[in-house]
Amino acid sequence: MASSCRRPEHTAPPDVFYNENEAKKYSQNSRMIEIQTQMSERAVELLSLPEGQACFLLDVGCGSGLSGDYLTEEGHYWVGVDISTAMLDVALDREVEGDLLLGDMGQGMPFRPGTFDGCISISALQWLCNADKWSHSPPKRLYTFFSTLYSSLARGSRAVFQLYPENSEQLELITSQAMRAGFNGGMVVDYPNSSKAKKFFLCLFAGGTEVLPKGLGSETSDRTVANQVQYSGQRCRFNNMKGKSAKKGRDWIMEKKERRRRQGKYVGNCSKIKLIVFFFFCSSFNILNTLQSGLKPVSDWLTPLLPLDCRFLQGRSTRHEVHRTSAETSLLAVTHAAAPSLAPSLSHTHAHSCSVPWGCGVIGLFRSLIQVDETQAINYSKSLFIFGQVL
Amino acid sequence: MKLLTHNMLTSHVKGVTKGYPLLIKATEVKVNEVDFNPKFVCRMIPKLEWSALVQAADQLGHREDLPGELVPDYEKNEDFLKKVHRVLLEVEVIEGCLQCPESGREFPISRGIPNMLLNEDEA
Repeated sequence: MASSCRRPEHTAPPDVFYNENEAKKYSQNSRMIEIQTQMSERAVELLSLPEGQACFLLDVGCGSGLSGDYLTEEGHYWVGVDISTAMLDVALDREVEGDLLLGDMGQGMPFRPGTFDGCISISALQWLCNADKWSHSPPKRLYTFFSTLYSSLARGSRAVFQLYPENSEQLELITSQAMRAGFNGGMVVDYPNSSKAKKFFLCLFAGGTEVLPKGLGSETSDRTVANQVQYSGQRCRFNNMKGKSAKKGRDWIMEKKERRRRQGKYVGNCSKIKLIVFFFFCSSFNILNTLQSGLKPVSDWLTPLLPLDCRFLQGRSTRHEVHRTSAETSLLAVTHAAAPSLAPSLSHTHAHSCSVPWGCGVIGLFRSLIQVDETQAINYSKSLFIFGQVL
Repeated sequence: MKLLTHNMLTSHVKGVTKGYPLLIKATEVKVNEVDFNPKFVCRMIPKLEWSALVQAADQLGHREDLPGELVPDYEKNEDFLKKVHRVLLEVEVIEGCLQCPESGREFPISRGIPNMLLNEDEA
């Protein structure tokens, strides 16, 4: 729902807000005219008037008569009520067919009982929820409006209000006052999942037990609108893939590796070590914290193990047909960065493949995450490697 | 303001129990051509307060020989329907005022639009 600074009913009372300038928009702005007409069409549809019968209708908040024009088009006769003289002047200039009245809906509808076959109102009802004068009480004004409207409608007819409710309390106030006045019915929400196309219609029945119509664009509604684009935002990226697998998926990676292998290019092994290391990496902080607060410093029991691992790595990497996975390379880099003095042979045999910055990155990560000094961070990265091997 | 609307209008001033029919004090009356729709006129006749319509038409000088009592079988009487159509939809009060028969409150009509706004104490 719109923010409060953009709501016209917060700026001024309706008879002040709809001045000559504002009224002019309703006869010149084609977008405003189109929206008003569309909403009137839908409101008349919700009225479900008898087919092919000229009806006598009431248009509350008729303004410049845009909604009335649609009623005339449909062959109905109408009476329009509005509080803004400027808007009614525009309606006169546009030579609308309906009869116009200057009136305040909060003061009640001055008509004999059973006069109208239906009532529509486009974007007007929310104005009643504001108290513009000291004497205004929104619940009372709403009740006066609904009760006089109820009596002026023929039995079994409907009243449809398109409105812009500010919040749910407002909606509740409006519907509860309508029910108190004798109406039954409720809200119909068109396109509830769209922020722009979403429209609220209050459908009230004066007598009779009718079923509330369904809103457009909701999952339960299966009707189609001829003059509106259907699902323009639907993604169609899976439609034009021509038999290829979805990008970034496992199948896609395997296909790509197979293709590169056929081309004789370097392809990493398909191992699960990356996952293990990642899993370990995520869970290792707890272990490390325990170790840090534990009995022995990490470096005490890690150092004797380190040469062994370096030998292991050295042994693996001398066999050139064995491709190291990037995870192994990274671990090697960690070790290399952590203990260059312990693995001097590594520095010249693997300088080309060891991504030292990666290792430094891990150490940096340790330093920033658990806020330890450099030697401790190095030790942690060593223990990370050990645990990776154990897993 | 058309006489159809006038026939439906009541005074809604606070405390008034039967503000109907409103007296028309017209200073300018116009006749506008409107397409004749016999079905609509037929549907509206039972809803009308006949005596009030005749009285209003008389006041404006456009009675068109309407009978004081509603004729039976009006559905088939096209001449009669045309007269009713003329009075209901074509005769318009442009300037003047409407007066509540009970409280005497006047509602001004300007450019064909009756001003039905009430004062604070009347609502």
